[in-house]
Amino acid sequence: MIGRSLSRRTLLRGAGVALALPWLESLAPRPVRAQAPELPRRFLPIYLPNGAPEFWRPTQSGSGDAWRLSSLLEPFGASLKSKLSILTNLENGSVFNADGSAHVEPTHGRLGGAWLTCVDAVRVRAELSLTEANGISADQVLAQHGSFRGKTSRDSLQLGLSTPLGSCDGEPCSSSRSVSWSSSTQPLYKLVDPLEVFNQLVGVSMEPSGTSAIEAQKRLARSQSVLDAVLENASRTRARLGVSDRRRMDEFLESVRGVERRVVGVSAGMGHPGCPAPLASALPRAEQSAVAPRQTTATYDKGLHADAMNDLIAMAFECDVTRVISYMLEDERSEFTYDHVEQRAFTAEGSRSKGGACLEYHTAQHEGGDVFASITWWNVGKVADLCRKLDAIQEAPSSSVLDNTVVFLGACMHGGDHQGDRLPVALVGGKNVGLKNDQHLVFEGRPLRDLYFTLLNDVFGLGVRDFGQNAAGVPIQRIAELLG
Amino acid sequence: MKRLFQPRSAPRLRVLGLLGCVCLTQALACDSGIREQASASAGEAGYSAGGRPSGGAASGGAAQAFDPGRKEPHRLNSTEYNATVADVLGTTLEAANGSWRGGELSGFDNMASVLGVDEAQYQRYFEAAATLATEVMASSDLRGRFVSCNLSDASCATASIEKAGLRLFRRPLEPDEVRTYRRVFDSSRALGDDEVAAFTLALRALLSSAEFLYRIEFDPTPDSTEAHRLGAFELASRLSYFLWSSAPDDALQEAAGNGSLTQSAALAANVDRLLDDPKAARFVTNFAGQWLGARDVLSHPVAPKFYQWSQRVARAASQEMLLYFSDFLRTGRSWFEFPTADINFIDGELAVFYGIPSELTGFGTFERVEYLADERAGFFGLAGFLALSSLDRRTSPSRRGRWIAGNLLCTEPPPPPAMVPELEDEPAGAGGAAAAPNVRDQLERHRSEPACAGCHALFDPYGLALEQYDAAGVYRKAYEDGTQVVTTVTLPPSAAHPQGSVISGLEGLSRAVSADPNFAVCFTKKLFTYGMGRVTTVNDEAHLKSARDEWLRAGETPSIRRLIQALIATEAFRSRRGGG
Repeated sequence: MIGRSLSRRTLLRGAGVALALPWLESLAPRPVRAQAPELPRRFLPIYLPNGAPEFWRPTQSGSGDAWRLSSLLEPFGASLKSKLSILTNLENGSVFNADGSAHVEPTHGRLGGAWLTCVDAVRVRAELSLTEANGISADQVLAQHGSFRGKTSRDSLQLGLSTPLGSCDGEPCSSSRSVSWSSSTQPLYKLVDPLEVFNQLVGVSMEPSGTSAIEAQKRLARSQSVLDAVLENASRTRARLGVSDRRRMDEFLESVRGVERRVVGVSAGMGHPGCPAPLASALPRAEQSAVAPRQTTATYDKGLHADAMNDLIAMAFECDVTRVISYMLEDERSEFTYDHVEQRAFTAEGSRSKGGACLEYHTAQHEGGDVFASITWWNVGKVADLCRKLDAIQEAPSSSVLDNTVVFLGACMHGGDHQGDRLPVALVGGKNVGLKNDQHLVFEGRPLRDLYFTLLNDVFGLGVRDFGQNAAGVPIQRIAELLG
Repeated sequence: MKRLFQPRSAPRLRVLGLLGCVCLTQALACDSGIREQASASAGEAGYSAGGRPSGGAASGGAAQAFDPGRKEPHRLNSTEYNATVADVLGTTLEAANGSWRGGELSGFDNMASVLGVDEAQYQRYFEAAATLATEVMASSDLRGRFVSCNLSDASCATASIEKAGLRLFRRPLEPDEVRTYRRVFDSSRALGDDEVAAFTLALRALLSSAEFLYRIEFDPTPDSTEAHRLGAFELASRLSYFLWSSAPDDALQEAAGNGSLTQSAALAANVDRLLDDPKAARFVTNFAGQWLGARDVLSHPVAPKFYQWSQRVARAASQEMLLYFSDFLRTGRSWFEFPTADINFIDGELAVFYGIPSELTGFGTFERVEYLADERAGFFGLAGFLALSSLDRRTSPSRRGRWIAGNLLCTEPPPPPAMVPELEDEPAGAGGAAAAPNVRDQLERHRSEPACAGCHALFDPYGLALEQYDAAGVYRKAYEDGTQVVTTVTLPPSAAHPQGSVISGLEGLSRAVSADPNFAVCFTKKLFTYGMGRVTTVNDEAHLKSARDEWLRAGETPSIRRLIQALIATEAFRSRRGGG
């Protein structure tokens, strides 16, 4: 739970604390960035659950002054509109249906699972005879590519605000709780607790500052000795298992080696000396749990949680701890009660406060109306806050972190109708990496995977041949209009 | 309990809450009078008494005729991890908090096929291992569990590693494994660490290892798909994780070590012993807590207009569901009374909520009442169930009906067709204050759509029969618009009632569910799924049927305990095969 008594202003950045390279500076000089003049390219897919109401879609299309923010996009404001692209009529139903239908059941589980993979998990599970499977997600294709892998201390991060746990809609829960899949069999669980995120970012298990180099070396040697035994044990075990059981040990060995790289390869951690860090002790806490009490303003401050996560994402990028983060504002089919959000009355022109607290998210989605719109508006507002934060971090004389980052805000379904077409899609930033900003593009039913294909190849330069599935066999294509 | 990483400001229900826990503990402990002896029909011969399955293949061909199913390496979930370190190390630190995620499948979080690990999770294990090992070795009490000699003696470290390994890996360590962890001890000594620090490091390595973090079962021929009996230590783990969510204790390991556990009579005796132990409370919270939804009641949204509902009522209602289930486990009464028994567990909050006279005031002290003048008979009368199966601002007979059909009768209806129209609902007024509609009439309109009628007839009646309970589970006779609640429904057709029987209200529904043949089939399947930690396949049908037949044998009371005994006696539980 995030305590209400904590004021975020006391927590983060306020004092402009510079992180004093708390571990093993002498052993691990890491002037990577000094030697690498090329600015990092980053990808930040942000998952909006339950689709969006009709007021998401801007009324006009075109670029620059030709289009205006819709009432639900209004939280981005004029300054971010110039860095925003809205893509209307992307669809993901073609992953499932050769006839072009946008419907699939159960909607939340299957569309949610396909959002960042563009793969029909049911089909993959049947092919592999597994109870849980999907496709590799777009962010993980990126994180595993040679131009990203190993370049930062964490190849990727998975974050979320999802608390409490939601219903899984009859699918394996990973379909609605994990958008990132590092392989067709491995969902990546997200971190929801800000302090845990912080610890992972700075590598808190490493040395406290002031430790002598000798003592630090010993600690490293101890960790290495533990990990050696773990790897020896697991390899021995693996050799005695049948092929189908080895999968679990392979996954385990991979995870251990990942931790080993960060624990023992002490160059891990945040990159450069000017990097500001929050005060860990003051971070709010949160956990994702079915047994947590109902989330109300009395016990949990979702706004505080979201603000802390925004700060941590900004820190992770600014300090170049990672370049790929997937971030779920909620699990798919969230049933969170947004009673901290005041209802607003929406029209095509805008919205105004109308009083009364919002209710439970998923039922509101079914009802449509102002409660659903108000919840979406609040979530868009938090994403806009994050984008402003990223835009405020200067990275080169004329560019911000946001300009070097592709922020992709999207949902797996249209809205209350639970259809897999007319998906809400917003791209923010990325000007420096080739995205064209400030436009509203309206397609005629373009597969979502075309977006990932374009980003992976034309923005991040990977040269992938394909991504995801299309039930009708329509070949994947790049979306040239996205590019500047 | 101290929490390792996460001091908590808000109080949280632990196991069953303070008094509930005591209540349940006593309840289970005083159960010794009721013992059911499962028939030991399975063959006895042909498995090894040792920890290794080298001799584990069943002899006589008996094991070849069936498929025990596939059970892959099973990573401990958060609950199992916490329980295991609490029992084995004696620590009160709870390392795994709610953020230690695993997958969930079929409504349970202990399904091996969705318990993968990733780097972030291994980082948590790695850090928790260091914290736990340090805590154990800093306490002479806890340290003594593994170290009973002088670590400066040459053989002591090795002996202590063997001892710790036996408990942590849940089987005796092989000599080369002992050497692996002995090297950790030696390398620490070589760095100048003292013996205690060196053993702490070895313990940390054990706690960081796959064989601790996973329950791994081996096949004599790894790539063969031939069925074979489990090794005795593997069987001990299956048993203890089923009934305790934790590692075997000394007695169970002894029964595994001397081979007796693989004999049917000793196996059954151990099942009884485990169920009579206070640790069986974990079976209630983890199995019934998930299956019946008790875990979800606290986070279930209920709109503010239901002023009778509160966090305290939610906690009490959640706890009551667990106490209700454990009453059946404790008393050995027939499972078929589960839908009908007029038992409630109330504290001061629930007494007021239900309108049951009680001396109790406030939250958390529970008493068992059999009060007949209320409208609360059976499981379907429990507030927790009634709220959980509703939307936040109104009842949903479809949702209640699907819950009953899916969870208690295992009859999942097909998904709705595309573009199903939504029920019209109330305009969203401030705080949900607008008048609730008459849901039954709306649903009738919805069901008049031919596309909807067929499916809804399969589950709506179960929910419509319960319309006398609103979305918070409060009893009502009329809707908010003044129209009368009607609870007479025609249930879906069945073999016994080809036209569907007409029933009404809570009592009619409870009797009908109890009499439905699927009620027994479904409970067997849910218990098996949880107990095995895997989904059922068609090949399990024979095992499930044999367990059910034994459970329902004439002349015996079909208690929960008898069914557990019958399931554990099946070859599916006692055997395994490789995946090829």
